[in-house]
Amino acid sequence: MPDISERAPARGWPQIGAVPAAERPMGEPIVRLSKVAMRYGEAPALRDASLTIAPGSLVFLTGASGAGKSTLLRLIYLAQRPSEGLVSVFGIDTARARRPMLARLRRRIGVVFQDFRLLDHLTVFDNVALPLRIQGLAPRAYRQDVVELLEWVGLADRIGARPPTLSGGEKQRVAIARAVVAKPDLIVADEPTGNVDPDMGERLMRLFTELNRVGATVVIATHDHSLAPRRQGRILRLQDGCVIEGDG
Amino acid sequence: MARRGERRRVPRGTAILPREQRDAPLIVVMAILCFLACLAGVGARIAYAQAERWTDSLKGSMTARVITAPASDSAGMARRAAEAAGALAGVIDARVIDRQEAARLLEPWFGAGALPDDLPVPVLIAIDIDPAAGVSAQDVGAALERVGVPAVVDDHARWSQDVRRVADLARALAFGVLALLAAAAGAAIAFAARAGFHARRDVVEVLHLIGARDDFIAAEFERRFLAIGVRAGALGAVMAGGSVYALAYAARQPEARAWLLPQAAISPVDWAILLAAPLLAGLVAMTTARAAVMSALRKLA
Repeated sequence: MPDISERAPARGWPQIGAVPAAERPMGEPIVRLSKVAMRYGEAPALRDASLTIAPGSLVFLTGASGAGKSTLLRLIYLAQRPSEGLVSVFGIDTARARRPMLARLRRRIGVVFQDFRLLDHLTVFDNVALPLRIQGLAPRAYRQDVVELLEWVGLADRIGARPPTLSGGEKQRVAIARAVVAKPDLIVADEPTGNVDPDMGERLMRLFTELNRVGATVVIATHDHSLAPRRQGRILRLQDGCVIEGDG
Repeated sequence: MARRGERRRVPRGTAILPREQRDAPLIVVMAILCFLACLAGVGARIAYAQAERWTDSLKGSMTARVITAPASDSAGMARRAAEAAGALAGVIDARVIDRQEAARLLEPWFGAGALPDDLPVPVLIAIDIDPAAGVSAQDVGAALERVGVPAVVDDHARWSQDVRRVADLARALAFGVLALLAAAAGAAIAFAARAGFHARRDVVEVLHLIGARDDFIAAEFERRFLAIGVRAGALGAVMAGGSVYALAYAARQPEARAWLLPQAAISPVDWAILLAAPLLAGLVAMTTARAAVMSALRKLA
Protein backbone atom coordinates (compact mmCIF):
# COMPACT_ATOMS: atom_id res chain seq x y z
CA MET A 1 0.00 0.00 0.00
CA PRO A 2 1.34 3.47 -0.78
CA ASP A 3 2.18 5.76 2.13
CA ILE A 4 -0.88 7.94 1.89
CA SER A 5 0.37 10.55 4.34
CA GLU A 6 3.41 11.39 2.27
CA ARG A 7 1.96 11.27 -1.24
CA ALA A 8 0.34 14.44 -2.47
CA PRO A 9 -2.39 14.22 -5.11
CA ALA A 10 -1.51 15.45 -8.58
CA ARG A 11 -3.21 18.78 -8.07
CA GLY A 12 -1.90 19.30 -4.52
CA TRP A 13 -3.34 18.36 -1.12
CA PRO A 14 -7.04 18.87 -0.63
CA GLN A 15 -7.58 22.42 0.56
CA ILE A 16 -9.37 21.75 3.77
CA GLY A 17 -10.31 24.79 5.85
CA ALA A 18 -9.63 28.33 4.75
CA VAL A 19 -6.01 28.91 5.76
CA PRO A 20 -3.35 27.00 7.68
CA ALA A 21 -3.85 27.09 11.43
CA ALA A 22 -0.67 29.06 12.09
CA GLU A 23 -1.90 31.93 9.90
CA ARG A 24 -5.46 31.87 11.18
CA PRO A 25 -6.54 34.49 13.73
CA MET A 26 -7.69 32.95 16.98
CA GLY A 27 -11.40 33.73 17.26
CA GLU A 28 -14.44 31.96 18.55
CA PRO A 29 -13.80 28.35 19.50
CA ILE A 30 -15.07 25.87 16.93
CA VAL A 31 -16.41 23.66 19.72
CA ARG A 32 -17.40 24.67 23.24
CA LEU A 33 -18.86 22.39 25.88
CA SER A 34 -19.90 23.82 29.22
CA LYS A 35 -21.02 21.67 32.17
CA VAL A 36 -22.39 19.03 29.81
CA ALA A 37 -24.12 15.97 31.19
CA MET A 38 -25.32 13.06 29.12
CA ARG A 39 -27.32 10.13 30.39
CA TYR A 40 -28.55 6.97 28.72
CA GLY A 41 -31.52 6.15 30.91
CA GLU A 42 -30.18 6.32 34.45
CA ALA A 43 -26.55 5.62 33.49
CA PRO A 44 -24.46 8.81 33.17
CA ALA A 45 -22.01 8.81 30.24
CA LEU A 46 -20.79 12.37 30.82
CA ARG A 47 -21.16 14.68 33.80
CA ASP A 48 -19.97 18.23 34.10
CA ALA A 49 -17.79 17.98 30.98
CA SER A 50 -16.37 21.28 29.74
CA LEU A 51 -13.89 22.05 26.97
CA THR A 52 -13.14 24.45 24.17
CA ILE A 53 -11.50 23.60 20.85
CA ALA A 54 -9.88 26.43 18.91
CA PRO A 55 -9.94 26.61 15.11
CA GLY A 56 -7.04 24.79 13.50
CA SER A 57 -6.14 22.73 16.54
CA LEU A 58 -5.33 19.02 16.69
CA VAL A 59 -6.96 17.41 19.70
CA PHE A 60 -6.53 13.87 20.98
CA LEU A 61 -9.29 12.62 23.21
CA THR A 62 -8.07 9.71 25.30
CA GLY A 63 -9.50 7.62 28.06
CA ALA A 64 -10.37 4.07 28.94
CA SER A 65 -13.04 2.16 27.09
CA GLY A 66 -16.46 3.37 28.26
CA ALA A 67 -15.06 6.66 29.59
CA GLY A 68 -17.46 8.61 27.33
CA LYS A 69 -15.20 9.43 24.37
CA SER A 70 -17.74 8.30 21.78
CA THR A 71 -20.54 10.12 23.59
CA LEU A 72 -18.49 13.33 23.60
CA LEU A 73 -17.76 12.94 19.90
CA ARG A 74 -21.45 12.25 19.15
CA LEU A 75 -22.29 15.55 20.82
CA ILE A 76 -19.62 17.31 18.75
CA TYR A 77 -20.70 15.84 15.42
CA LEU A 78 -24.34 16.54 16.31
CA ALA A 79 -25.64 13.01 16.49
CA GLN A 80 -27.12 13.82 19.89
CA ARG A 81 -28.17 16.79 21.95
CA PRO A 82 -27.01 17.00 25.58
CA SER A 83 -29.21 16.08 28.54
CA GLU A 84 -27.82 19.13 30.36
CA GLY A 85 -25.36 21.93 29.71
CA LEU A 86 -24.25 23.81 26.62
CA VAL A 87 -22.80 22.35 23.43
CA SER A 88 -21.83 25.04 20.95
CA VAL A 89 -20.45 24.12 17.53
CA PHE A 90 -19.32 26.89 15.17
CA GLY A 91 -20.84 29.33 17.68
CA ILE A 92 -24.33 27.74 17.52
CA ASP A 93 -26.03 26.32 20.62
CA THR A 94 -26.94 22.87 19.30
CA ALA A 95 -29.76 22.37 21.81
CA ARG A 96 -31.59 25.40 20.43
CA ALA A 97 -30.67 25.08 16.76
CA ARG A 98 -33.46 24.18 14.36
CA ARG A 99 -33.12 21.08 12.20
CA PRO A 100 -32.13 22.86 8.95
CA MET A 101 -29.40 24.70 10.87
CA LEU A 102 -28.14 21.42 12.36
CA ALA A 103 -27.95 19.95 8.83
CA ARG A 104 -25.91 22.97 7.69
CA LEU A 105 -23.56 22.56 10.67
CA ARG A 106 -23.15 18.84 9.98
CA ARG A 107 -21.98 19.63 6.45
CA ARG A 108 -19.07 21.54 7.96
CA ILE A 109 -18.02 18.46 9.95
CA GLY A 110 -16.31 15.40 8.48
CA VAL A 111 -16.80 12.30 10.59
CA VAL A 112 -14.75 9.10 10.53
CA PHE A 113 -16.95 6.65 12.36
CA GLN A 114 -15.45 3.89 14.47
CA ASP A 115 -17.35 1.30 12.42
CA PHE A 116 -16.79 3.24 9.14
CA ARG A 117 -20.50 3.33 8.29
CA LEU A 118 -19.90 2.86 4.59
CA LEU A 119 -22.94 2.07 2.47
CA ASP A 120 -22.47 -1.47 1.22
CA HIS A 121 -24.62 -1.08 -1.91
CA LEU A 122 -22.59 1.90 -3.16
CA THR A 123 -19.20 1.77 -4.81
CA VAL A 124 -16.11 3.29 -3.23
CA PHE A 125 -16.54 6.27 -5.57
CA ASP A 126 -20.19 6.79 -4.59
CA ASN A 127 -19.43 6.41 -0.89
CA VAL A 128 -16.76 9.09 -1.05
CA ALA A 129 -18.91 11.37 -3.23
CA LEU A 130 -21.90 11.13 -0.89
CA PRO A 131 -21.29 14.40 1.04
CA LEU A 132 -20.98 16.27 -2.27
CA ARG A 133 -24.04 14.58 -3.67
CA ILE A 134 -26.21 15.63 -0.73
CA GLN A 135 -25.04 19.20 -1.30
CA GLY A 136 -26.67 18.97 -4.70
CA LEU A 137 -23.49 18.98 -6.79
CA ALA A 138 -23.68 17.38 -10.21
CA PRO A 139 -21.38 14.39 -10.77
CA ARG A 140 -19.35 16.28 -13.37
CA ALA A 141 -18.59 18.92 -10.73
CA TYR A 142 -17.02 16.48 -8.27
CA ARG A 143 -15.90 13.50 -10.37
CA GLN A 144 -12.34 14.74 -10.80
CA ASP A 145 -11.95 15.72 -7.12
CA VAL A 146 -13.19 12.34 -5.90
CA VAL A 147 -10.94 10.42 -8.26
CA GLU A 148 -7.97 12.51 -7.17
CA LEU A 149 -8.78 12.03 -3.50
CA LEU A 150 -9.04 8.27 -4.01
CA GLU A 151 -5.66 8.31 -5.74
CA TRP A 152 -4.33 10.25 -2.76
CA VAL A 153 -5.50 7.61 -0.28
CA GLY A 154 -4.20 4.85 -2.55
CA LEU A 155 -7.59 3.47 -3.60
CA ALA A 156 -7.67 4.50 -7.26
CA ASP A 157 -7.74 0.84 -8.26
CA ARG A 158 -10.70 0.08 -6.01
CA ILE A 159 -12.90 2.90 -7.27
CA GLY A 160 -15.69 0.59 -8.46
CA ALA A 161 -15.42 -1.87 -5.58
CA ARG A 162 -18.09 -2.18 -2.92
CA PRO A 163 -17.26 -2.06 0.80
CA PRO A 164 -17.89 -5.76 1.56
CA THR A 165 -14.94 -6.60 -0.72
CA LEU A 166 -12.54 -4.16 0.98
CA SER A 167 -10.05 -4.90 3.74
CA GLY A 168 -10.29 -3.09 7.09
CA GLY A 169 -7.56 -0.64 6.14
CA GLU A 170 -9.18 0.08 2.78
CA LYS A 171 -12.54 0.73 4.44
CA GLN A 172 -10.83 3.05 6.90
CA ARG A 173 -9.29 5.05 4.04
CA VAL A 174 -12.62 5.25 2.21
CA ALA A 175 -14.20 6.54 5.44
CA ILE A 176 -11.47 9.15 5.76
CA ALA A 177 -11.81 10.19 2.13
CA ARG A 178 -15.56 10.60 2.62
CA ALA A 179 -14.93 12.68 5.75
CA VAL A 180 -12.60 15.13 4.01
CA VAL A 181 -14.03 15.29 0.48
CA ALA A 182 -16.33 18.24 1.19
CA LYS A 183 -13.44 20.19 2.75
CA PRO A 184 -14.97 20.40 6.23
CA ASP A 185 -13.82 22.88 8.87
CA LEU A 186 -13.84 20.20 11.55
CA ILE A 187 -12.80 16.55 11.24
CA VAL A 188 -13.90 14.16 13.98
CA ALA A 189 -12.49 10.63 14.07
CA ASP A 190 -13.67 7.98 16.51
CA GLU A 191 -10.94 5.37 17.15
CA PRO A 192 -9.63 5.68 13.58
CA THR A 193 -6.83 3.20 14.27
CA GLY A 194 -8.95 0.71 16.16
CA ASN A 195 -9.50 -1.66 13.24
CA VAL A 196 -6.11 -1.57 11.54
CA ASP A 197 -2.66 -2.93 12.24
CA PRO A 198 -0.11 -0.69 14.03
CA ASP A 199 1.70 0.19 10.81
CA MET A 200 -1.53 1.31 9.12
CA GLY A 201 -2.54 3.10 12.33
CA GLU A 202 0.65 5.12 12.26
CA ARG A 203 0.11 6.04 8.61
CA LEU A 204 -3.46 7.14 9.27
CA MET A 205 -2.33 9.29 12.19
CA ARG A 206 0.23 10.95 9.95
CA LEU A 207 -2.60 11.63 7.50
CA PHE A 208 -4.70 13.36 10.17
CA THR A 209 -1.67 15.41 11.23
CA GLU A 210 -1.24 16.45 7.60
CA LEU A 211 -4.90 17.39 7.27
CA ASN A 212 -4.52 19.55 10.36
CA ARG A 213 -1.38 21.12 8.95
CA VAL A 214 -3.30 22.28 5.88
CA GLY A 215 -5.97 23.94 7.99
CA ALA A 216 -8.59 21.55 9.35
CA THR A 217 -9.44 21.33 13.02
CA VAL A 218 -9.07 17.66 13.92
CA VAL A 219 -10.46 15.85 16.95
CA ILE A 220 -9.41 12.22 17.37
CA ALA A 221 -10.71 9.87 20.02
CA THR A 222 -8.34 7.01 20.79
CA HIS A 223 -7.86 4.56 23.59
CA ASP A 224 -4.30 3.97 22.34
CA HIS A 225 -2.29 6.17 24.73
CA SER A 226 0.87 5.65 22.73
CA LEU A 227 -0.43 7.38 19.61
CA ALA A 228 -1.04 10.89 20.93
CA PRO A 229 2.23 11.77 22.70
CA ARG A 230 4.26 11.00 19.58
CA ARG A 231 2.94 14.03 17.72
CA GLN A 232 2.11 17.66 18.28
CA GLY A 233 -1.37 18.35 19.50
CA ARG A 234 -3.47 18.88 22.55
CA ILE A 235 -4.36 15.88 24.67
CA LEU A 236 -7.61 15.69 26.62
CA ARG A 237 -8.42 12.80 28.89
CA LEU A 238 -11.90 11.65 29.81
CA GLN A 239 -12.23 10.24 33.28
CA ASP A 240 -15.42 9.58 35.25
CA GLY A 241 -17.42 11.54 32.68
CA CYS A 242 -15.28 14.68 33.08
CA VAL A 243 -12.69 16.19 30.69
CA ILE A 244 -9.16 16.61 32.09
CA GLU A 245 -6.45 18.59 30.28
CA GLY A 246 -3.30 16.52 29.51
CA ASP A 247 -2.72 12.80 29.47
CA GLY A 248 -2.38 12.60 33.25
CA MET B 1 -4.69 -3.43 -9.36
CA ALA B 2 -8.40 -3.63 -9.83
CA ARG B 3 -9.70 -6.99 -8.72
CA ARG B 4 -11.72 -9.26 -10.95
CA GLY B 5 -15.22 -7.94 -11.61
CA GLU B 6 -14.38 -4.41 -10.50
CA ARG B 7 -14.23 -1.50 -12.87
CA ARG B 8 -11.25 0.78 -13.01
CA ARG B 9 -13.26 3.51 -14.70
CA VAL B 10 -15.32 5.89 -12.59
CA PRO B 11 -18.71 4.26 -12.01
CA ARG B 12 -21.97 6.05 -12.65
CA GLY B 13 -23.84 7.30 -9.57
CA THR B 14 -26.27 4.73 -8.19
CA ALA B 15 -29.41 5.17 -6.12
CA ILE B 16 -28.55 6.23 -2.58
CA LEU B 17 -31.18 3.94 -1.08
CA PRO B 18 -30.54 0.25 -1.65
CA ARG B 19 -33.16 -1.72 -3.56
CA GLU B 20 -35.12 -4.02 -1.31
CA GLN B 21 -36.53 -7.39 -2.29
CA ARG B 22 -39.31 -6.74 0.20
CA ASP B 23 -40.70 -4.11 -2.19
CA ALA B 24 -42.10 -6.90 -4.40
CA PRO B 25 -44.94 -7.97 -2.04
CA LEU B 26 -45.84 -4.31 -1.57
CA ILE B 27 -46.14 -3.85 -5.33
CA VAL B 28 -48.42 -6.90 -5.51
CA VAL B 29 -50.65 -5.67 -2.65
CA MET B 30 -50.84 -2.19 -4.15
CA ALA B 31 -51.54 -3.57 -7.62
CA ILE B 32 -54.48 -5.57 -6.22
CA LEU B 33 -55.80 -2.48 -4.43
CA CYS B 34 -55.44 -0.45 -7.62
CA PHE B 35 -57.19 -3.20 -9.62
CA LEU B 36 -60.14 -3.11 -7.21
CA ALA B 37 -60.16 0.69 -7.20
CA CYS B 38 -60.22 0.80 -11.01
CA LEU B 39 -63.06 -1.74 -11.06
CA ALA B 40 -64.96 0.36 -8.52
CA GLY B 41 -64.40 3.51 -10.59
CA VAL B 42 -65.37 1.88 -13.88
CA GLY B 43 -68.29 0.11 -12.16
CA ALA B 44 -69.59 3.45 -10.86
CA ARG B 45 -69.32 4.91 -14.35
CA ILE B 46 -71.16 1.97 -15.93
CA ALA B 47 -73.91 2.04 -13.29
CA TYR B 48 -74.39 5.75 -13.85
CA ALA B 49 -74.34 5.48 -17.64
CA GLN B 50 -76.75 2.56 -17.65
CA ALA B 51 -79.17 4.37 -15.33
CA GLU B 52 -79.03 7.41 -17.62
CA ARG B 53 -79.70 5.21 -20.61
CA TRP B 54 -82.67 3.53 -19.00
CA THR B 55 -84.23 6.72 -17.68
CA ASP B 56 -83.56 8.66 -20.91
CA SER B 57 -85.31 6.00 -22.94
CA LEU B 58 -88.26 6.08 -20.54
CA LYS B 59 -88.46 9.86 -20.31
CA GLY B 60 -89.48 10.20 -23.98
CA SER B 61 -92.27 7.66 -23.96
CA MET B 62 -95.63 6.82 -22.40
CA THR B 63 -97.90 3.84 -22.71
CA ALA B 64 -101.69 4.07 -22.64
CA ARG B 65 -103.68 0.92 -21.92
CA VAL B 66 -107.19 1.26 -23.29
CA ILE B 67 -109.86 -0.10 -20.96
CA THR B 68 -112.21 -2.14 -23.08
CA ALA B 69 -115.42 -4.03 -22.32
CA PRO B 70 -115.91 -7.56 -23.77
CA ALA B 71 -118.38 -6.38 -26.41
CA SER B 72 -116.73 -3.10 -27.27
CA ASP B 73 -114.97 -2.15 -30.51
CA SER B 74 -111.47 -2.35 -29.17
CA ALA B 75 -109.83 -1.69 -32.56
CA GLY B 76 -111.89 1.46 -33.08
CA MET B 77 -111.19 2.66 -29.53
CA ALA B 78 -107.51 2.10 -30.05
CA ARG B 79 -107.51 4.03 -33.31
CA ARG B 80 -109.41 6.96 -31.72
CA ALA B 81 -107.07 6.95 -28.77
CA ALA B 82 -104.00 7.05 -31.01
CA GLU B 83 -105.46 9.93 -33.04
CA ALA B 84 -106.41 11.89 -29.93
CA ALA B 85 -103.01 11.40 -28.33
CA GLY B 86 -101.21 12.20 -31.57
CA ALA B 87 -103.09 15.49 -31.85
CA LEU B 88 -101.74 16.74 -28.52
CA ALA B 89 -98.99 19.40 -28.63
CA GLY B 90 -95.65 17.87 -27.62
CA VAL B 91 -96.56 14.38 -28.80
CA ILE B 92 -94.29 13.24 -31.61
CA ASP B 93 -96.01 9.99 -32.44
CA ALA B 94 -98.80 7.82 -31.11
CA ARG B 95 -99.48 4.38 -32.53
CA VAL B 96 -101.42 1.31 -31.67
CA ILE B 97 -99.45 -1.76 -30.63
CA ASP B 98 -101.22 -4.43 -32.56
CA ARG B 99 -101.39 -8.12 -31.68
CA GLN B 100 -98.40 -9.01 -33.92
CA GLU B 101 -96.18 -6.45 -32.26
CA ALA B 102 -97.39 -7.48 -28.80
CA ALA B 103 -96.62 -11.10 -29.69
CA ARG B 104 -93.09 -10.06 -30.73
CA LEU B 105 -92.57 -8.20 -27.44
CA LEU B 106 -93.71 -11.26 -25.51
CA GLU B 107 -91.48 -13.62 -27.48
CA PRO B 108 -88.75 -13.80 -24.78
CA TRP B 109 -91.34 -15.26 -22.38
CA PHE B 110 -93.64 -17.31 -24.66
CA GLY B 111 -91.30 -18.18 -27.50
CA ALA B 112 -91.66 -17.39 -31.20
CA GLY B 113 -95.24 -17.94 -32.49
CA ALA B 114 -96.30 -19.56 -29.23
CA LEU B 115 -98.70 -16.87 -28.04
CA PRO B 116 -102.08 -18.64 -27.65
CA ASP B 117 -104.74 -17.18 -29.96
CA ASP B 118 -107.31 -17.02 -27.19
CA LEU B 119 -105.01 -15.16 -24.80
CA PRO B 120 -106.36 -11.63 -24.36
CA VAL B 121 -103.68 -9.08 -25.14
CA PRO B 122 -104.15 -5.59 -23.70
CA VAL B 123 -104.85 -2.79 -26.17
CA LEU B 124 -101.83 -0.54 -25.91
CA ILE B 125 -100.94 2.82 -27.43
CA ALA B 126 -97.22 3.67 -27.64
CA ILE B 127 -96.77 7.41 -27.37
CA ASP B 128 -93.48 9.14 -28.13
CA ILE B 129 -93.20 12.61 -26.64
CA ASP B 130 -90.80 15.49 -26.64
CA PRO B 131 -89.45 15.42 -23.04
CA ALA B 132 -88.97 19.20 -23.20
CA ALA B 133 -92.66 19.85 -24.03
CA GLY B 134 -93.88 18.96 -20.55
CA VAL B 135 -96.73 16.66 -21.62
CA SER B 136 -97.92 14.71 -18.57
CA ALA B 137 -99.77 11.40 -18.23
CA GLN B 138 -102.78 13.38 -16.96
CA ASP B 139 -102.82 15.47 -20.17
CA VAL B 140 -102.86 12.35 -22.31
CA GLY B 141 -105.49 10.66 -20.07
CA ALA B 142 -107.73 13.75 -20.34
CA ALA B 143 -107.36 13.85 -24.12
CA LEU B 144 -108.43 10.22 -24.38
CA GLU B 145 -111.37 10.82 -22.03
CA ARG B 146 -112.51 13.64 -24.33
CA VAL B 147 -112.88 11.19 -27.25
CA GLY B 148 -114.64 8.67 -24.99
CA VAL B 149 -111.80 6.24 -24.56
CA PRO B 150 -111.07 5.33 -20.93
CA ALA B 151 -107.40 4.50 -20.47
CA VAL B 152 -104.65 4.07 -17.91
CA VAL B 153 -101.62 6.14 -18.96
CA ASP B 154 -98.22 5.15 -17.61
CA ASP B 155 -95.35 7.61 -17.95
CA HIS B 156 -92.91 5.07 -16.35
CA ALA B 157 -92.18 7.57 -13.57
CA ARG B 158 -92.16 4.93 -10.83
CA TRP B 159 -89.89 2.60 -12.85
CA SER B 160 -87.64 5.49 -13.75
CA GLN B 161 -87.36 6.60 -10.10
CA ASP B 162 -86.55 3.03 -9.01
CA VAL B 163 -83.81 2.77 -11.61
CA ARG B 164 -82.43 6.18 -10.64
CA ARG B 165 -82.46 5.28 -6.93
CA VAL B 166 -80.65 1.97 -7.49
CA ALA B 167 -78.11 3.62 -9.81
CA ASP B 168 -77.46 6.43 -7.33
CA LEU B 169 -76.96 3.86 -4.57
CA ALA B 170 -74.61 1.79 -6.77
CA ARG B 171 -72.63 4.91 -7.61
CA ALA B 172 -72.42 5.97 -3.94
CA LEU B 173 -71.30 2.45 -3.01
CA ALA B 174 -68.66 2.50 -5.73
CA PHE B 175 -67.30 5.83 -4.46
CA GLY B 176 -67.38 4.49 -0.90
CA VAL B 177 -65.42 1.40 -1.99
CA LEU B 178 -63.03 3.68 -3.86
CA ALA B 179 -62.45 5.78 -0.73
CA LEU B 180 -61.93 2.67 1.41
CA LEU B 181 -59.47 1.22 -1.11
CA ALA B 182 -57.57 4.51 -1.25
CA ALA B 183 -57.42 4.54 2.56
CA ALA B 184 -56.26 0.90 2.59
CA ALA B 185 -53.62 1.67 -0.04
CA GLY B 186 -52.48 4.72 1.94
CA ALA B 187 -52.23 2.69 5.15
CA ALA B 188 -50.34 -0.12 3.38
CA ILE B 189 -47.92 2.36 1.85
CA ALA B 190 -47.39 4.19 5.16
CA PHE B 191 -46.68 0.87 6.84
CA ALA B 192 -44.29 -0.10 4.04
CA ALA B 193 -42.59 3.29 4.07
CA ARG B 194 -41.96 3.02 7.80
CA ALA B 195 -40.70 -0.54 7.38
CA GLY B 196 -38.54 0.63 4.48
CA PHE B 197 -37.24 3.47 6.59
CA HIS B 198 -36.30 1.13 9.43
CA ALA B 199 -34.79 -1.42 7.02
CA ARG B 200 -32.60 1.35 5.62
CA ARG B 201 -32.07 3.08 8.92
CA ASP B 202 -28.28 2.70 8.72
CA VAL B 203 -28.27 4.50 5.37
CA VAL B 204 -30.63 7.19 6.66
CA GLU B 205 -28.45 7.76 9.74
CA VAL B 206 -25.31 8.14 7.65
CA LEU B 207 -27.07 10.61 5.33
CA HIS B 208 -28.41 12.46 8.37
CA LEU B 209 -25.01 12.65 10.05
CA ILE B 210 -23.14 13.88 6.99
CA GLY B 211 -25.56 16.77 6.68
CA ALA B 212 -28.41 15.65 4.46
CA ARG B 213 -31.52 17.73 5.01
CA ASP B 214 -34.72 15.93 5.95
CA ASP B 215 -36.14 16.98 2.58
CA PHE B 216 -33.27 15.33 0.75
CA ILE B 217 -33.70 12.03 2.61
CA ALA B 218 -37.48 12.15 2.24
CA ALA B 219 -37.06 12.86 -1.49
CA GLU B 220 -35.05 9.63 -1.85
CA PHE B 221 -37.95 7.67 -0.33
CA GLU B 222 -40.47 9.68 -2.36
CA ARG B 223 -38.73 8.72 -5.60
CA ARG B 224 -38.62 5.08 -4.58
CA PHE B 225 -42.28 4.95 -3.57
CA LEU B 226 -43.41 6.99 -6.59
CA ALA B 227 -41.84 4.31 -8.77
CA ILE B 228 -43.48 1.55 -6.71
CA GLY B 229 -46.87 3.31 -6.89
CA VAL B 230 -46.69 3.90 -10.64
CA ARG B 231 -45.68 0.29 -11.32
CA ALA B 232 -48.40 -1.08 -9.03
CA GLY B 233 -50.98 1.33 -10.47
CA ALA B 234 -50.09 0.36 -14.03
CA LEU B 235 -50.32 -3.33 -13.15
CA GLY B 236 -53.70 -2.83 -11.46
CA ALA B 237 -55.00 -0.73 -14.36
CA VAL B 238 -53.99 -3.35 -16.93
CA MET B 239 -55.71 -6.09 -14.91
CA ALA B 240 -58.83 -3.93 -14.48
CA GLY B 241 -58.84 -2.97 -18.17
CA GLY B 242 -58.64 -6.64 -19.13
CA SER B 243 -61.46 -7.54 -16.75
CA VAL B 244 -63.73 -4.74 -18.00
CA TYR B 245 -63.01 -5.71 -21.59
CA ALA B 246 -63.88 -9.34 -20.80
CA LEU B 247 -67.07 -8.19 -19.05
CA ALA B 248 -68.00 -5.95 -21.98
CA TYR B 249 -67.45 -8.84 -24.37
CA ALA B 250 -69.57 -11.22 -22.26
CA ALA B 251 -72.40 -8.73 -21.70
CA ARG B 252 -72.75 -7.53 -25.28
CA GLN B 253 -76.26 -8.21 -26.64
CA PRO B 254 -78.13 -7.73 -29.89
CA GLU B 255 -79.76 -4.30 -30.17
CA ALA B 256 -83.21 -5.75 -29.43
CA ARG B 257 -82.17 -6.96 -25.97
CA ALA B 258 -79.54 -4.32 -25.25
CA TRP B 259 -81.73 -2.69 -22.64
CA LEU B 260 -81.62 -5.78 -20.41
CA LEU B 261 -77.97 -5.92 -19.29
CA PRO B 262 -75.64 -2.99 -18.70
CA GLN B 263 -73.65 -2.54 -21.92
CA ALA B 264 -70.13 -2.38 -20.51
CA ALA B 265 -68.20 -1.00 -23.47
CA ILE B 266 -64.94 0.74 -22.47
CA SER B 267 -65.66 4.45 -22.78
CA PRO B 268 -63.26 7.43 -22.81
CA VAL B 269 -64.10 7.97 -19.12
CA ASP B 270 -62.98 4.40 -18.37
CA TRP B 271 -59.75 5.01 -20.27
CA ALA B 272 -59.23 8.16 -18.22
CA ILE B 273 -59.79 6.20 -14.98
CA LEU B 274 -57.39 3.45 -16.08
CA LEU B 275 -54.74 5.93 -17.24
CA ALA B 276 -55.08 8.02 -14.08
CA ALA B 277 -54.64 4.98 -11.82
CA PRO B 278 -50.81 4.74 -12.07
CA LEU B 279 -50.44 8.48 -11.57
CA LEU B 280 -52.80 8.56 -8.60
CA ALA B 281 -51.21 5.45 -7.06
CA GLY B 282 -47.77 7.02 -7.49
CA LEU B 283 -48.96 10.27 -5.98
CA VAL B 284 -50.57 8.53 -2.98
CA ALA B 285 -47.45 6.39 -2.48
CA MET B 286 -45.15 9.40 -2.73
CA THR B 287 -47.04 11.66 -0.34
CA THR B 288 -47.70 8.90 2.17
CA ALA B 289 -44.06 7.83 2.15
CA ARG B 290 -42.96 11.43 2.64
CA ALA B 291 -45.26 11.87 5.64
CA ALA B 292 -44.08 8.59 7.19
CA VAL B 293 -40.39 9.32 6.62
CA MET B 294 -40.57 12.94 7.83
CA SER B 295 -42.31 11.74 10.97
CA ALA B 296 -39.59 9.10 11.55
CA LEU B 297 -36.79 11.60 10.79
CA ARG B 298 -38.09 14.04 13.39
CA LYS B 299 -37.29 11.41 16.01
CA LEU B 300 -33.59 11.64 15.09
CA ALA B 301 -31.51 14.40 16.76
